[in-house]
Amino acid sequence: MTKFIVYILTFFLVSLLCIIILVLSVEDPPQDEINRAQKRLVEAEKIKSSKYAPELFHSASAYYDSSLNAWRHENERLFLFRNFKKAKEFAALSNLLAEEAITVTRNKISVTEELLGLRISMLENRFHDLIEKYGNIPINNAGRNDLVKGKLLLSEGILAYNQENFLASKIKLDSTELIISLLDEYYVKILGDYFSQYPQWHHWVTQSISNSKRNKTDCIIIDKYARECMLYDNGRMVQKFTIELSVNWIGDKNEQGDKSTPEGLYVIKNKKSGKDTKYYKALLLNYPNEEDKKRFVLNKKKKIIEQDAKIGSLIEIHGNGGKGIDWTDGCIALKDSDIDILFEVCNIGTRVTIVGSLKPLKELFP
Amino acid sequence: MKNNLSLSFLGLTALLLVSCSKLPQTEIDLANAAIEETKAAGAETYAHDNFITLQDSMNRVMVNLEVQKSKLLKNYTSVVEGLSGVTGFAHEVKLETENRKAELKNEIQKTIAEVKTLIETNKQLILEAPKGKEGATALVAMQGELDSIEAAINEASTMLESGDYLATLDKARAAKEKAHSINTELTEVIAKYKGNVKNKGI
Repeated sequence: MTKFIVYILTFFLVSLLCIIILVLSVEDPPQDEINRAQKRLVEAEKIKSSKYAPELFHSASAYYDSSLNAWRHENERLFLFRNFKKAKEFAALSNLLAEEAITVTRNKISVTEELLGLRISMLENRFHDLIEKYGNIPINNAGRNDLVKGKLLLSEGILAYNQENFLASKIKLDSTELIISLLDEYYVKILGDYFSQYPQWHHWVTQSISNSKRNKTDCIIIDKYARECMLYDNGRMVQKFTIELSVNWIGDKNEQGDKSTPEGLYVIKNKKSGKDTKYYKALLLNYPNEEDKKRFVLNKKKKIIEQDAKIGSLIEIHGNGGKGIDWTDGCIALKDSDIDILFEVCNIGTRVTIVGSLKPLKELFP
Repeated sequence: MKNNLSLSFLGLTALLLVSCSKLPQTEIDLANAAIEETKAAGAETYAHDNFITLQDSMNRVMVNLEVQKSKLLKNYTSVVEGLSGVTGFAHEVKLETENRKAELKNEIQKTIAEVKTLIETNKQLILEAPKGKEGATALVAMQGELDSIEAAINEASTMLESGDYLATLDKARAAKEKAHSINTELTEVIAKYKGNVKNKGI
């Protein structure tokens, strides 16, 4: 009986010893490594690494999943045969990549914030420049809508930026930039087409000034783009006045009611004051001249204008100007004090040359 | 007798070695389902930080599960407790998401209504504004701007239906800002005009 108890005790002790040895020899599970990786991933996710460093973040997440799967797989084996090496390696890689994703994200956020801030200022300036540069160029409804749409998009971009939603802000600013570029292109094309007539304008002006010099007479030169009216005497400029035109001032006059100011060589046909004019004083031009009439007929033939269109008349240089905006129906408005000078100096028959610009496009928009 | 004792001892040892409580699969499924619901509600966007915390909590529970699975003597009590906490938290985050969305929706609707009122007021002001040749041109331009703002507000209404609340709010706010600036401009012009008329004694 004693022998049996000793046998049992020995067996029990040996078994216990074996179990203890086995348990001690089994590798620790990758809990710490996985917890570390997880902590990094949460940190990365919080600063939106999935958006700023997607590849790194997704690789880190994939390694984390692999690590957990490897652990799960090992747990299914008998504890004596478990090996957590792979799980630990994957967790370490996940931790490393998540750390890298955090660094990249922080850098990108910092750079993006700075760049977007600069871009917002740049776009605000571009809008300002656009209005400054082309503010007096007529714009169609679609263009005007684009202009407002662009401004709204810029505001949305700024709002998103202020909420540190840089990705949304970038999208809005991209759209704003596209609209500004399209508007810029639109204006460049309008001006390019318009200024293709510059050689003709230059010829008219040179001819008028030469005539004034040769014949010792006065002449008036109107520069539509510069909004200037120049009085020449004996081929020499003696006075310069600011003018106001119509909103649709760009381009030659094609028909009645198009609110455009004609371009060409004209003369003063009549001087009107008092009850003869609804303005303070007015110098009536001989529009339409023979060239205008020929062009009008040709435009009808080419179907540029409607068949029942009328050529228009009563183009004047008149007073009541000084409003600071384009407001006439195609006439040229001057301040009353300025029209007084012209009215005094100019007579019926004085040449009036109206051109788009005295300067070529390259000089105006280098 | 000797054999019975030996068998009992071996059985006890084997029981100790493979001892395990039941894997809390139902609780895991419930927690996952709750997280999915939260995600579907838009928590990633509208309750971003808490959604990450929720996912983190679930991951921690899953790690704890594996820890227990690694042990000789498995005890899933803490895992079950963790899962129950995750499920409860998921419901809280879902509620927070819904509340935030409702809050944003209200703000958007309020802003859209304000912009619509401003547009109508501005249209009325355009009718009241001085209509010289010069004024008419500026008013046509303003009418065009109002049309664009109206289009932006219609777009915001459509976006609201699609549930993109943050972008919609930005759009509505930008439109409000622009409509407000037109309102200020028109009010100033009219006030100036009325002042001039008064000064002229008309």
